[in-house]
Amino acid sequence: MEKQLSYEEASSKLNEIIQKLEEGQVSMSEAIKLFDEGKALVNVCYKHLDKAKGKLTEIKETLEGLEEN
Amino acid sequence: MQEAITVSRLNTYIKQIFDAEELLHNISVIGEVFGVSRTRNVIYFSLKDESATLPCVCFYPNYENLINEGDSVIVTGSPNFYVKGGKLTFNVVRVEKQGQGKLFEEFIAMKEKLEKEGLFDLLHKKALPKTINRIGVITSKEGAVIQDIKNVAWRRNPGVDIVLFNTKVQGINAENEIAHAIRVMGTYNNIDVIIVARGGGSLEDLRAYNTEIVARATYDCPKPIISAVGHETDFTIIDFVSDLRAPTPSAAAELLTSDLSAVKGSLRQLLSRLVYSFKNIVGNAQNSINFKTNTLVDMIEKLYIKSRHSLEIARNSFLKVCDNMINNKLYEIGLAENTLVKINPKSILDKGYAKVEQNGKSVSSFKEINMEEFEVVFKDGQIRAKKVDK
Repeated sequence: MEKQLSYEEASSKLNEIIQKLEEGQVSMSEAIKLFDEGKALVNVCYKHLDKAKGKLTEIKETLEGLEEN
Repeated sequence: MQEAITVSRLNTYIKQIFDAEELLHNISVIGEVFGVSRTRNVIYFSLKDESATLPCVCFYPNYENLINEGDSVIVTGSPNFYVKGGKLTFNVVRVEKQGQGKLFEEFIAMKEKLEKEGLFDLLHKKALPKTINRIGVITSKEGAVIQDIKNVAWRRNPGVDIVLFNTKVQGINAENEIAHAIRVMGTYNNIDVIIVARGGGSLEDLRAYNTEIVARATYDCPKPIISAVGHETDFTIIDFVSDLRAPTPSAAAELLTSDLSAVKGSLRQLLSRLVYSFKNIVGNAQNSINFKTNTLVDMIEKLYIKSRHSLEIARNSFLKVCDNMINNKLYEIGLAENTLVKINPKSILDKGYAKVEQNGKSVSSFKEINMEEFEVVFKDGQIRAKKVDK
């Protein structure tokens, strides 16, 4: 993927792909292409969420550190 | 008839009688002076009353001023018979003035004149300053007077300055020197008060202080003058003109210096009162500050606890909201992933199914096939197929 998509962009694109695949109107090669794209988008979304989770843990630790002082 | 004796023998005998008679030793005689003649060291004169005369000799030239024609004096001494001349003279060792002499008359006349002019006027007299730091003294640098003044003044107040203006206190030109000193010292800015002082003496000794020039200088002086001339019983013109008369020079020094120990005592009292009231003020202030501090600390503590509590709540809800949001998304993506896996097109082919396509488009019903040829896609490749029958 050329450009890093935001979580929202990635998830909405993913939903579009799922919808297209469910409709079943695309050719097999197209479907495979879409499927691969979908898997990549899932990974992008997980990456975003992992990052957010890490950030949140960091914030939690900082706040706890402040409290101890 | 008795045998004749020599003149020397007789005279010697007479002298011995006089010398042996203790009643005649050191006696005082009153009389009026007449027939004065002087050599360098000896004064010859006679004393007389209405009916008798007494030849006198005085070997003390400093009595010269008291021995004037017509003066009434008391002389003290002893009669002495001179063997050589066969004469009796009274050997004078002390002379005192008796009654109103010429100098005294002059004194009285001067006093009356100046009094009429208003030089003794009480309204003219200046008050002594409240604080006296520097005292000018007009007297002789020799003699006990300046020393007495310093001793008394410094014993009472070691901080007071004493400035001496040295003048003659008797003799020729003394009055001019004293008047000049008064005029000059009157212009000294840093002098608070002036003492014109002299020790005790005869009317003649004190003559300078009875002169008009000294009286006028004293009257004109812008600074307060204390006169301290002679003993307590001596009065001089300057005593009437000055702003204050002290009985003696020491008394003048005493008048002008407050007793420092008394001042110290009252200062100490003032100081302890000051310290006491200061302590009170500080104590009260301290109490009120303590009270306010305690209240403030309480308030801050309560505020802190309250703030901390609400901060904890805010923090927890913030963390929870964030956590929930991320979990929701994770859940959503998990669902999407599952769906994607389920509809993986390859998995259908993997199971052995094949897909029919026409011109690159999916065909889900045989009715859709409108051309002779179409494609069938397997998991490992695709073939072109031909329609044989319906």
